[in-house]
Amino acid sequence: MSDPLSEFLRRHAPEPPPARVDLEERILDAVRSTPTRRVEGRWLVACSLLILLLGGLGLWQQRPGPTLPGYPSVIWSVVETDISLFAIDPRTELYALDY
Amino acid sequence: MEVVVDVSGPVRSDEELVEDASKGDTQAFRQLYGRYVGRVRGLIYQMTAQTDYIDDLTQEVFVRVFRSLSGFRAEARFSTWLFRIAVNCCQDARRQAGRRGPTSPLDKTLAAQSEETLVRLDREQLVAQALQVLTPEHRMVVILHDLQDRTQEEIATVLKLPVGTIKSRLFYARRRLREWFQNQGINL
Repeated sequence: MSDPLSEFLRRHAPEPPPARVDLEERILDAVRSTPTRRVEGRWLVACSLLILLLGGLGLWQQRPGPTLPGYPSVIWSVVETDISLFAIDPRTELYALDY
Repeated sequence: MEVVVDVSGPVRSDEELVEDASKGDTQAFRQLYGRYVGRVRGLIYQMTAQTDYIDDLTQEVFVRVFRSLSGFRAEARFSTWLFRIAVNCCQDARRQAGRRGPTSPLDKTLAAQSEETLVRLDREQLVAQALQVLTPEHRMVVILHDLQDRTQEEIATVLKLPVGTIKSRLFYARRRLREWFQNQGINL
């Protein structure tokens, strides 16, 4: 059963004036002239990885790793994107992964 | 309300059109636009009570929608997602308008209209004025439910609120509207 108030509102709902004739084309032009979120996201990921890589290199150059007598020195680092931990042996340039 | 019927082939679902439009299919884009532009413009007009910004806001809504199509995951219906974006645009516009100061609502030109049209416009003006009596939160719920035929569950999804809050707002908004119409001599 329909409510009289709802019925009245629906029947006399304010209708907007007609749209501009070129509105659809304007919207299409605006959509075409701007990059999509997918592309923006791709760039964002690429920039993040680049910054992470440069930051990691900076750390590698500035911070000597801990040394223990009789053991090779290693550099510890954390890659924040996948929370994995790795260590680099500067002599052999090999690395080991730990979880 | 604008209704676009494509007689050139079978009617494609929103989801099919979204998929094609997200791949750059302009015709799919146009079909989605034609299917929903009337509802979006109606919502904007009823919510903002302004004629000046309807086309700009409509453009804003559809540009936002089509820029984000690749992120649409079909967890909700396309129309629900579209309405959410339209509501967000209306709320942004209301905030900006609030900073600009009040303006006169629904500035329709009544001159040179037939008597029948005048009666219709008179009733439309009445409903428009009644809606402006409500708070923006209550107005949005009434517009979505009673003027745009959205279910309470869908409105809850659009506004990201519990269904109970929608029921409550609808109850108080309707009570306020009935009182207002009664003061105008209309018992509903």
